[in-house]
Amino acid sequence: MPSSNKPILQVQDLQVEFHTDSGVVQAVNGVSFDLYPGETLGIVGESGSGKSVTNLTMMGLTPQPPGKVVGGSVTYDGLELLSLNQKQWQQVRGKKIAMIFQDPMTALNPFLTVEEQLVEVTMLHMGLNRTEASEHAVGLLRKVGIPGAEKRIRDYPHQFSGGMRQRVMIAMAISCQPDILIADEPTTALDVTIQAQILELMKSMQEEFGTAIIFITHDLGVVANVCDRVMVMYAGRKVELSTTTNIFRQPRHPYTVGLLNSAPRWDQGEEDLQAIDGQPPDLLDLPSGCAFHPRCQFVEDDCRKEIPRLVSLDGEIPHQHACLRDITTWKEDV
Amino acid sequence: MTTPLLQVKDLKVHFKPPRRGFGKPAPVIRAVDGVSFDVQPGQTLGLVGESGCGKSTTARAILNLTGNAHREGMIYLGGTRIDQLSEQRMRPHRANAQMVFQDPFASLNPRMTVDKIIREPMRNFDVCKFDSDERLEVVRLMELVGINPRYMNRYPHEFSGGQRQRIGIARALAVNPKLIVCDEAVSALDVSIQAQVINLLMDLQQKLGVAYVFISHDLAVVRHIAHRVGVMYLGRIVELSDADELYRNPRHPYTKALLSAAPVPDPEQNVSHQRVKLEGEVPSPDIEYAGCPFAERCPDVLPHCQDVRPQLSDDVHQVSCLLYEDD
Repeated sequence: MPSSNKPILQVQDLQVEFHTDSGVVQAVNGVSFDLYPGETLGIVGESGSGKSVTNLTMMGLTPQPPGKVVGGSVTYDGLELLSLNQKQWQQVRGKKIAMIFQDPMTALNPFLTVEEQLVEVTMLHMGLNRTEASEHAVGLLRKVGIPGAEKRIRDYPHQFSGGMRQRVMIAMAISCQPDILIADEPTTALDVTIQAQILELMKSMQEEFGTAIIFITHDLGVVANVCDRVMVMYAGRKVELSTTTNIFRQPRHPYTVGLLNSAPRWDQGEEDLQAIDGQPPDLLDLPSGCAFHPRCQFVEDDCRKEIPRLVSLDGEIPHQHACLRDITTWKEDV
Repeated sequence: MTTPLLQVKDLKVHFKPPRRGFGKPAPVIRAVDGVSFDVQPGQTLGLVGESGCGKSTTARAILNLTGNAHREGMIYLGGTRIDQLSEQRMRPHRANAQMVFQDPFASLNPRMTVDKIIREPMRNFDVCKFDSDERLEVVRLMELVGINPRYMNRYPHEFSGGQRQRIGIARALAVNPKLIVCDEAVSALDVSIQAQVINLLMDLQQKLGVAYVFISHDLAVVRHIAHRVGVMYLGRIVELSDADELYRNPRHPYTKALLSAAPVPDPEQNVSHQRVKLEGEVPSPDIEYAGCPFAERCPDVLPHCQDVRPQLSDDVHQVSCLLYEDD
């Protein structure tokens, strides 16, 4: 739960483009959000919705070219991240903001032992010497629940299973006790029982260090399980943002409604899944107006012309959504 | 009860890794270790389990696609025993059992148009007498799976993942099979598209009466599509029952743990949810167990579980666990 009212990270009107052979893709288009200390913010969206690019940009990792940050700002604790040079980035990346990737096999260096990869971070950021860093690393591996940490630390990544590799990644990410942890689909490649273990581990790490977590996923079950707030993205834009309970109980964007209805549940019977019709948008050739309108069941004429602005409902629980229709009243008509 | 379309009896598939140097021979991988089930015509059997539990190997074994692996047990397709047939004698049976693969990018030939992709199996099995009939059939199949037949001359890369999976389904349907084995057929798709493809598969079953063996790691997807569900662990089926019964009233400790680990898209549900926590990971399938392979991780383990191998019970709700063997 948010423990303070001052955001630790502010993203404002972020715009990222990719220049490809077939044209310019607006991967992220005016995305804004705040992240508060100790909270978990989920970012949900389908492939190509811009969720991963948003987060790579916050880490200064957008491949440039073809990528280009066209506008907006990302401030961490008063520091504008988008104007940092490589050297300044090194003071932030890994130390203040760390990242966990989906595929731990490609994110770890296969030629280096786990120890070498773990000590690198702490020697650079915390100024430890080799022996101290080694001890620190063993402690970390123990903390993330790797049995026989003293021995396993000399193993190479391929000698670990998928779940254990993800634990190594988490150990590496928390080694400098970062303020922000960005987790990009950290459990997507794992089996459910291992996923449950990893989610539990992330929660306990968060409780211990008060880390703010940005959790990128397409799995609504995981979102419901770990996130305090959720941002829904579609075609590079933020279409809805509120608390997890609000998003699941009173979704206000038709796309969110569609996502929730199309997610199968093992705890519920046989009713048909309500899929969202149509295909995800072609980012090179976005529909006019609201990008979701060709797939939307509430579509009216103005949806095709006007790009809906984000509406903030400042009730007890803030709720932002970008839709011209008020689908809460619509539902009663049907 | 009708005769089952597919009968699998005590199927075992063991892989023998190549000998390394002069050392001891590498242990045999018991990918599938005694699996039995039936599939009725027009019904769906779901097989769930974690990676390495042998569900994909089972799928391949059904279609005689396990290559040189050592195989035991019997497989009957439409009453004929097919597990010992040579590739040539297997050919006519291939028209009855087709497969849809996980990766819609890798399973379609990038150099063939959609038309050719769907037409190839028809040619192989002489489904149509005339070329013009074939063309009509391609149009019919494309309409059936919800792809505009106008696009028949396009190549796979011009379609999205969900559309490609539809093309894969059309190809499987081209020879009018009675059984389609779907190996993680919707796992690579986004949620909204996944729901479309699940609904399509269920529609097709209603229209054509095709049976599915639906393999997935996703418990929620399987609940929606399957009539019966088998839960696999280390090459064995530990529980097999009607889908509703299995999800409402899981009996095997592994099934319980698996279900409680699967998150539900409902924030309130998760708070009240009692977790059965499972420690450790699935062990390597190269060990031969005297008793229950799940015993070392089982929260309800009994003293004799390590020594006595449980058998899949014979009732409607089949379970392979010593907890239930006494009564």
